Parts: sequence; C-alpha cells; structure tokens
Amino acid sequence: MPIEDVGYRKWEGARLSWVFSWLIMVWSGVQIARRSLWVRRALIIAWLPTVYLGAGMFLFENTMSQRQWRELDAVEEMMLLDSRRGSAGISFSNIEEEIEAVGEEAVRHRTWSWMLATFLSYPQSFCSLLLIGLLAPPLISRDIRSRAFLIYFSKPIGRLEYLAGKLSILGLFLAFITLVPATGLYVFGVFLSPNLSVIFDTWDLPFRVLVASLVFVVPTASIALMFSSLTIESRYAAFAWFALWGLGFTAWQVIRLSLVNVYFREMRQSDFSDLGGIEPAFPRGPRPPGLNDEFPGMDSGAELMAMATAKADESYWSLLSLYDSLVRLQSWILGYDAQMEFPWAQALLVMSLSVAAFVVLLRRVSAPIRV
Amino acid sequence: MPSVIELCELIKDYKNLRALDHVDLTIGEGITGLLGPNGAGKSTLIKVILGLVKLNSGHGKVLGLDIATQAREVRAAIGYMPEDDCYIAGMNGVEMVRFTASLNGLPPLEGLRRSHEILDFCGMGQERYRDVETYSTGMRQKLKFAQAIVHDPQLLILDEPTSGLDPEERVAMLNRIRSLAKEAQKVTLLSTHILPDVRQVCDHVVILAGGRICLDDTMENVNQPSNPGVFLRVLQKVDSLLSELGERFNVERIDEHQLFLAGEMNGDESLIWEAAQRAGSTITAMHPSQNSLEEVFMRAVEES
Repeated sequence: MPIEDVGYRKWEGARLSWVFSWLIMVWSGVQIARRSLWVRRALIIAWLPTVYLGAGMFLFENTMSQRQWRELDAVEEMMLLDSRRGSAGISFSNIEEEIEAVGEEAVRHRTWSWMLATFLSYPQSFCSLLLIGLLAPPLISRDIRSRAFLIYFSKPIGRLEYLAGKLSILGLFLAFITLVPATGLYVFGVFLSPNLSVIFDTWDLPFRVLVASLVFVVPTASIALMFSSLTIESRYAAFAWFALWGLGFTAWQVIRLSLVNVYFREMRQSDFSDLGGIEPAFPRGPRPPGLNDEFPGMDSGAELMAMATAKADESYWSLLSLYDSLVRLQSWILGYDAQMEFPWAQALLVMSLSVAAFVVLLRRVSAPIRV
Repeated sequence: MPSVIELCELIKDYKNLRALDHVDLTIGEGITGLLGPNGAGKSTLIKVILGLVKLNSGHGKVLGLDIATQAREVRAAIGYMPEDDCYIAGMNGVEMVRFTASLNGLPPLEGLRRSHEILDFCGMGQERYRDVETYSTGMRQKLKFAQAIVHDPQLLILDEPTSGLDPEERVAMLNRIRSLAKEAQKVTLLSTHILPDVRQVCDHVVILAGGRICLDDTMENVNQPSNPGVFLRVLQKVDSLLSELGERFNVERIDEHQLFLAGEMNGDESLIWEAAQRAGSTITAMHPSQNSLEEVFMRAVEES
C-alpha cells in the first residue's frame, strides 16, 4: 500500500472553464510530440535556413547603407539571386539605380518581402511538410486504435475542441519554424537598419507573414489530420501524406517541362515567321549566343525560354501540385511582385481542400461515438 | 428516494435498428446494476445519458440537467469508465489521469496531486510511471476507473468494471465501488454481464433487452423467491426426518440428502430442529429459498 494512501477524498475546488479544454489538448500533445528524437532533429534543421536569411538581411542592409558594398558582385552571387531577379526585379548590384527610381523605402520593402517569401516558400515549406509528416499521422489514428474517443468525449469536450486541439498542436510546431523565425528576421532587419523609421515603411510585413503562415498551416494541417483520421495505422497516413506532395509535385513538373518545350517551339516559330520565315539550322533547344546579332529583331533563347516558362506556369495543370499552389498564394500575400495577380484558382483549390478535409475529419471523429 | 437519472419515453434508432424503444427509467441513489444481453441497448443508453448520441424522441434529465441541451454540464458531473480497452497512447499512467482531470477542469497542479491520490486509492503503485501501452488488462481497468473518479463526479457510470480482472482484483474493485457509494455517496450505474457482481454490490437492478426495460426493481425484491421455502441438507436418516416433517410441513425430497420445505416459516424453524432430534438425523445446512439472479435475468429476457 502506498505510504500516502489516504483513501478516497472529496474534491471541492473551483473548476476551470471548458473553454480551455483545447489548450489542455495542445499542451499535452506538444509534450508527447517533443519526446520524439526525430521531431527534435527536424526542428533544429528547420531553424538552419534562418541563419542564411539572417545573413541576407545583414548583407542587404549593409548594401543599403554603405556604398562600397554595392560593388560587391559576390553579395548577389552569395544570395543566389540570379534565378529570382527576373520575376522580383531585385538586384543588389543595380541597387543604386533602383533607389533612384523608386526610393529607398520601396526597395527595402520589396527586398524584405521577397526574402521573407523565399524563406517561407522554399526551405520552411519543405521543413514544414517534413515536420507534419512526422507529427500528424499518429495524432488521430492513435486515438482510433486505442479507442481514446470514449475517454475524450465523456469529458466536457466536444468534437470541435478536440479537432481545434489537434490542429493547434500542428499549428504550434509549424509556427515555431515559420512565423517565429520569419518575425525574428523582420525584427533583426529593423535593428540592422539605420533607424527605427523603417518600421513605418514595413509595418505590414509581420501581418503578411502571419497570413502567409496561416495560409500554409491551415490546409496542410487539415489534410494531414484527415489522412490520420482515415486509418488506425499511422504509417499509412504518413505514406499518403508524402505521396500527396511528392506525386503532385512530380506530375506538375513533368507536365510543366512538356509545356515549356511546346510553348518555346511555338514562340520560336512565330518569331521566325515574323522575320520572313527563315528556318534556323538548329531545330531544337535554346538559340546559341550571337544569333541576335544576325537577327536583331528576335528575342534571345533565354528570353524565349523565360517567356515560355512563365506561360507554362499559368497553366491550370499547376493545380496538380498543392505545393506550387501554396507557394504562389504565399508569394501573392507577401506582395514583393506588384504585378502578380491574385491566384484565384489556387485559392479556391486550397479552400476547397481545407473545407473537404475538415468535413471528413468531423465525420471520422464522430463515427466511433455514433454507433 | 430522490431520482438522479430520469429518462422518459426514449427512442433511438440506428437506421433500421431500434436500439432504445420507449425507455422510461428512473435511477436513484445507491448502486444500480444495468443488465442485459449483448445488443440490448446498454451502451446506447449510457451514450444517451452522456449526451453523445442524439435521440429520435424522448427526453431525460441527469442530476437535474437536460441531457439534450446541457450535455457538456452533464458530462462534467459524470465519471464514465468505458467498457472497451481504451487509453490515451503516448502517456504514462499519471499523465493520463492528470490529463483527464485537466479536461474536467481541475487546475494543473491540483490535477497532479489528485491523480496521485486517486491512483493510490486504485491500488496503482510505481507502475503508474510506465507507458499505458505496456499495461496489462487489469492495470488498464484500474486506470480507466481512476480517470473516471479523479474529478470527484456525483454520478459514476461504470461499464464492465471487473472484466479482465483476477479474482483478488475483482473483489478489490467491487470494494472500491461499494465504498464510493456508501462512504462518498456516489450514485453509481454499473453495467455488467457478471451477475454475481450485481448481486454483491447493487441496491437496484435494471434489465434491458431488445431496447426495452424488462425489469426495474430493488435487489431485495429481486431476491424474493417465487417459491418460498427452506432447503435442508441432511446427513443421515433422511427418510425418518421426511416423515417427521411431513406431519407439519409440505416437504419435498430434492435428492438423497436434500429436502425442501415449501411455504413461509414464520418462526417455525425450531419445529424443524425438534423433528430432527426426534428422527435422530443431523441437519448440516438450512437456508431459505432465493431467486437466482440468473433465473430472473433469463426470465426477463425471454419475456421480452
């Protein structure tokens, strides 16, 4: 018999409101999840890109404030800006002209938002998908397997609080690797800038980061939990999760490549037709350098390829890849490219998937109770 | 006796199956045994009380709270121990009980203190620090019981609390249930298939079959024999005793050593001893006839 055994005693303390029940689920879920070594490793890895973007902020602010930094091509190369320069119009080496053209505030706003968008869309999105793949599959499937629903729902907690708790567990971890470091980067940038007046120029960025994070977290968490609720084996849910992203991304990339080739050939044909129908001696691939000297009215191969790629990216086939849809939405929300139109199709897709996942979740969660 | 659960004209259909059919039931203080064959509607009735399933018609109150509109308050006042082998994976015993205490609104520190106190009461030792997935069936039963009572509910609903327990643990569990009812005045609804458990601890019996209430009576009345009398176990000279008793009683020989005296005794037991002395026989056991709960149960189910 335990030393402290006092038999059964009544308890007459004041109870906390049931409004907090979902927070209790979050607290408990986080405690369980952080015990996993793989989750801890993933969290550490997910924070590494922050250092890279922090260095980017540092370089940019020095470029803005010190003339000699603007002449360093290495800065641009180091930040791997070339591939993005065309769409975002951001270049460290041309920064002087840009400042003269649009002003220092506009350049700072555009560059910071581009950096944050890059940070959220590429390394953090990838890490988020990985982390969700580790965290989400057992969240509901384990409760189904261990028949925990009767324990949960015999307490003053409803289905919505249960789901809110589970979604918030994922949300909290994702916020820790997206919202927190992105906001940290923003604050870091503010402290690096010459004075605190930049807050007035860039005040909208933390809110944009918040919305962009939510746009990523809500659908991904709902879909991951939906998979978890459809099986008692969490490994099947994990497989479905990674398959959804992997297959969608791969399918879209294959189609995209084909479309780029088709559009490139069409553009080149039309280009030559405009110049009197002269057929080139190199029927396939980008045009070699020097051709523009012979035909000054024509676009270079790289330009044609960029145009073909941009046209291919407008295709509705891109909806096959949920990842690309989310990245495009995030890019629009961060607003570094003023010419970018609101991606209605992507927004509708993400919303529909989120709603469908939530409906399935509600039904699956109540199914064991109904019978 | 003030009623704790009042259910009126409950009807619950699952597609083509009527799980509850015009159930009228009032449950008062003490321990009530809920009996019924598989598929009788016991689990559905419990889910209705907990407000987990929607009724087709009817209404009910638990502790004065409406089960349809105040389900959350009802659940806060109830401690429910499910029948299934259920647990919250990834936690150890203390964490799980503390977690359920928190879901019931206990503050974190108080929840931890109370969890240890209740686990002590349930006879859980150091195994409380082990992962619940490694628990044996008996330990999980104790854990489910602990999570049901950690928030000190007024009403306990225990679904098969002794299934899977060894004889010693079964007795301990029944003692806990009895002590909660007698000393802590917990109203208890005990759903079980194990009739001796009901006989041992219950004050009231409800038998449910085919979604209908077949029997709703006190244990005392259920035990009233349909054929009153006394059973005698006789060691020797059974025939002599039979003829001696035959002058005063309606005696029937059951087997070689057993006699049955039909009718109420009304203090005539001394006549039996005198007859035995005259016949020179030895009575080794004498007990009044009693209804067996099994018989009552079978009869009720057959009648339904």
